[in-house]
Amino acid sequence: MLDKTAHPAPRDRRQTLVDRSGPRRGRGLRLAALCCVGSLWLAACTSSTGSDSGATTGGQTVEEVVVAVPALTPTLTWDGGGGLSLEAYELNANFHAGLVRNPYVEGDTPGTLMQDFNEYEGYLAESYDVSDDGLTYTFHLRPDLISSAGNPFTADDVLWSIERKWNTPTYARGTFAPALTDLNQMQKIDDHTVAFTLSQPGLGFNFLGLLANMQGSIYDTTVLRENATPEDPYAVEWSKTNSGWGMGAYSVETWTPDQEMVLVANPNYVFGEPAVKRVFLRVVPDAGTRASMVISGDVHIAEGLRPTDQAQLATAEGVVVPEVEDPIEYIDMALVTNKAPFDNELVRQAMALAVPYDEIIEQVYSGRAARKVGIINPATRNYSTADLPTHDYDPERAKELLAEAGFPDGLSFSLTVSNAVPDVVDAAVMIQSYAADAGFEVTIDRQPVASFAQGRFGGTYQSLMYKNRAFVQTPTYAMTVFWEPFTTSAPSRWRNQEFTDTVNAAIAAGDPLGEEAGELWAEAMKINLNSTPEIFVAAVQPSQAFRESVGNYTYRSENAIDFASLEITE
Amino acid sequence: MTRLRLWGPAAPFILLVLIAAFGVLLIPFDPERVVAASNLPPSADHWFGTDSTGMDVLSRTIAGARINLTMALIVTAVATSGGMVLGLVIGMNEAQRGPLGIVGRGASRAVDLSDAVPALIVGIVVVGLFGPSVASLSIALALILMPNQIRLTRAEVLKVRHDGYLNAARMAGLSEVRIMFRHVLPNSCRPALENSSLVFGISIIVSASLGFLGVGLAPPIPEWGAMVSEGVSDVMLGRWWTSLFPALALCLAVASAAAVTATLTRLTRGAASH
Amino acid sequence: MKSVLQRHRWWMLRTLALPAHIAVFATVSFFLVRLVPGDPVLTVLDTSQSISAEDYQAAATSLGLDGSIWSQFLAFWGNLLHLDLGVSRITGRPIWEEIWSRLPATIELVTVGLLGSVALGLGLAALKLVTSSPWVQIPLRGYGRLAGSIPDFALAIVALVVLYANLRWIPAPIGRIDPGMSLPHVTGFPLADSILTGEWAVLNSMVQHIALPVLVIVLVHTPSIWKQLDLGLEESAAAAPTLFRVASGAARSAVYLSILRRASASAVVMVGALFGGLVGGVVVLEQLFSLGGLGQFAIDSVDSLDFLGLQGFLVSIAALCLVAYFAVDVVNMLLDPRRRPGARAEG
Repeated sequence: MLDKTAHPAPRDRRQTLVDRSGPRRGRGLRLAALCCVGSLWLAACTSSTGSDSGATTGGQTVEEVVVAVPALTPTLTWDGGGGLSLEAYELNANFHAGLVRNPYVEGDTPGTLMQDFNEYEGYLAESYDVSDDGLTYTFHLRPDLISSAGNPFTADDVLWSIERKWNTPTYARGTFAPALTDLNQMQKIDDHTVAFTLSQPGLGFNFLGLLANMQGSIYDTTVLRENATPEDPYAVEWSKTNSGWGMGAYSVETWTPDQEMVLVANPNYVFGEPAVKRVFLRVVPDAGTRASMVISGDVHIAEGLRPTDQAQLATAEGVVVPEVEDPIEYIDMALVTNKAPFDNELVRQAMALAVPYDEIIEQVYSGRAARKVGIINPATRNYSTADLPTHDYDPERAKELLAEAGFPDGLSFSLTVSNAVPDVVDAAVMIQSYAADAGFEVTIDRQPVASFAQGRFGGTYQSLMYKNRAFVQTPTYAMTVFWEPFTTSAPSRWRNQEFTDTVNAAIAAGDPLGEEAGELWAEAMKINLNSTPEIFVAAVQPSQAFRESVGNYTYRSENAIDFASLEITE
Repeated sequence: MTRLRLWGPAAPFILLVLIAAFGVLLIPFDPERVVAASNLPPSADHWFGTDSTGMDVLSRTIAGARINLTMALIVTAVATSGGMVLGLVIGMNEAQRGPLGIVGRGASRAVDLSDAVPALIVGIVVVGLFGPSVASLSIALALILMPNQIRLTRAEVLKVRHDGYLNAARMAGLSEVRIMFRHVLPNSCRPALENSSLVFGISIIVSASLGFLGVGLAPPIPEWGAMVSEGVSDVMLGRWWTSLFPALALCLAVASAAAVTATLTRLTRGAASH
Repeated sequence: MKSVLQRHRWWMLRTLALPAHIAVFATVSFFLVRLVPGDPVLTVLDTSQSISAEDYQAAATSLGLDGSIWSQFLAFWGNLLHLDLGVSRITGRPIWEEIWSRLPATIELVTVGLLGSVALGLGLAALKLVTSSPWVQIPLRGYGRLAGSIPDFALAIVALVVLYANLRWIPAPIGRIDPGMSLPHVTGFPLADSILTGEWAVLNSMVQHIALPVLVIVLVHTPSIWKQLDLGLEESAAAAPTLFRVASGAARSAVYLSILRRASASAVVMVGALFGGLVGGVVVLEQLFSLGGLGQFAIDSVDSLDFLGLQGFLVSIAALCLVAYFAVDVVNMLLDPRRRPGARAEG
């Protein structure tokens, strides 16, 4: 049979085409010359714009700050079902303001500030009164306040904003219950006075906390009303893509999705025009690159850094890595109690002894995390964590408990994590290694963000681990938002009558920061910690780092930066 | 051709297969357990250092050879053999008038269309449906890489379809199927075979990219692509060892597979001449 | 008239088939997207702070995810016929706008990279034809063997560490231009726009930021093109038409061009395949250099289960790829008449 591949490639024939004459060699030389010229040009241009450290930031005035962020929020409003994320928290903190807020006090790292959760100060409201029975909160709005668009701020703005949160699918409405369940509890007294009548006096402090955070943002409703349509009566769709309707310190000047957002200061901001007039939020997806940019001075601030990188940055020249005594964000390992094996309390208690807390803090977080005893902020007035049980890694005791629970040979379960947070995945790997000695065989199940949310909401996993925070830092919020029956679809599905009764008693005590309530909060926390539906693995330090020239970084409960408080000195 | 010249290029690959099969017996530490402090640079105790949780990089790199090579071999075998057969069938029948022709042309169009689906979407969907495992990742990668093999074989079949000796075979009474597999296939399989090293390399790289997006085997299973992706951020801050060694292993594996192609083609060339 | 139609049948048929292919692809992508696991409603609610069941219902209704899959399918097709890809429930912007604000930048990066690869490939081809010295031939063949074995992100990381972190020869991988500069907007293609508006400082900054990603693309993907070209050159240099031209005394450049013309078919196919693959696959480089781009949009859509966004992405990519393959087929049919459908190939 004939075979086309039988003939070898005739190299000898090709040789007749070889040419060694002059012009051909010249072609190669010309190509080489072009390459040299090209690289020389590139080098010349590079050196002319200057790439020594600090050049980019030094060339700008101190009124502009450059921030490296992991991502930008895809939408400019979180009413009407907008997705919440760390980027969303930060923009909310800067675009919007509420009636009150937690005052800033000196922080634990020199040159920084933090929030005082035991107090509230007037923000859009000048002051507020509480009625004698503790049920009615009357807010006196600032009389001469105008928005960035030039509209006067009145009580109508407050009413319309709250209505918008009520009448569109926003999670905020759920958190106001049971203090505020009906819009009729809200009343306009006059153009600059609004009153809220709550259902229980003990919920007042928490109500203020909601008003001070994302749930209570009040908008420049004149602008919103101008853009409302019959199909979209609260201008929710319009506000997803437009800025300038908030009462906060900044609004969007330009926005290139996935790349950059430039914020511009509000000259009519309630506390005066901010020192920083422009904020450049640059998306740099890689965490290591963000960290190296603070070292090189290419950015003033970097967010979403990994703790190991921060430990390295802390030793770099000219870089500040903030630290606080009681970090609010924590790694939450929820044990889902609606199915085996964690429906058994003994198994849960055994698991709490099988987590290598100190190893995780040392190895995964390079020491930039702390043990977390319960979820209530230890700085809460009249509350003490002194008598609360602490769990430590104790594999022998864990095995005993497992045997008691009917698993003398240990048991296996799956731990689900989201693929979006690398340090949580690392912590899961450590738990897998160390819990093996305690009799637990752990399988790590890594899910994409969307299905992780689904499983968490649906209670379908056996256990899950994620980064959690209570950004309203009141004991009431902490004890009612994460567990049933106060909230449906809580991740652990845990329900305990004694706990419920104790929390209700603490609320009924009136002043949540009072002595009586303080004891009851501690008692409720003890019940929870003994039953361990959730394991508080570690509280993690803030995820930012910045140049020395950046002053007044403020540690907030959502770990977002309030750019209005910054002062860049250079 | 001397035996050395035939099998010489395949030597690195054979060595790699041996390491994949038996390397786990020689490694110093358990590749899926935390054994030391995290982020230790290479030292006498840990030749390749430790990663962000304190697992030994050397042990994981060697243990990863089994996982990665198994996946890549499965994918390459499935994509190449499936691609050759499908390309053959499509190419031979495409020009026919009857129903076979319509099916052939439709299949050809489908192959072209499937190339427009981005690889990562296929990966995410398949892994999402079947869970992250060696099998589902292999299926996803084979689906991504088969169309190119089909196209290469089909193009070659179109070229040789009209060769005279095929008509001679038909006149001699051989069935169409026999002609396809006995005569056309050996003469048209060369591009797909030469491309199989590319398939091998790409399967490793695409699995690494999927790992980059968090769609990969469950941690802490050692897989080179995921190890490189996890270590990428570290490199910017001077912690180069978590990424470098698996990346080197990756490149070596792909390069040795490319060398094997030389042996493969020499073998097939021998088989085709009769 | 009929003969005109007959002669041009080959590209006219391909042009007509294009919308049909896109239609098929749109349908496939509709169902493919719904296979991605997860519940989109939960991505618009903050489940870390716990939500009630009624909030969930309200959110589901507002996302338009009530109704059967067939009603959604009909709605999808109704919109598609108006060239309306829908409005993203997450961002509130039209999907078309989301895609069009990112697609040109990605296309530009891929095109510049592939042009560089083609240029390098042609340069290597010239080198191969011109010398027969083994010092040149062996490395050339070896470079082709590297096809597909260089992981682009590994090379990019090494380059970043050496050229940025240590030598500072290139600017920080912080985006497309220096902070403080703004992107001019005429067509949406960043480099073209800065040339059209004459903003030379912006162009300079852009070129510096994009130099390394383009270099990585060129180094990583030229071997694939070169490998095909190399094979083709070997074959066509030995083929009858070449011998004929040499024997009939054609000029050297004419002979080389003729060889190149007949050799480039599979290389052209490879360029088309690379273009299709890179538009989606360059996302890793775009992430490393903070360039934004279309791939990031796809990942975000998957993460937030924005079905419309993902569908829009798939349909756009498909249209782009199909146009690219069409162009590749046309170029090939121009170069080599044997490949035109309806033509009979001689032995």
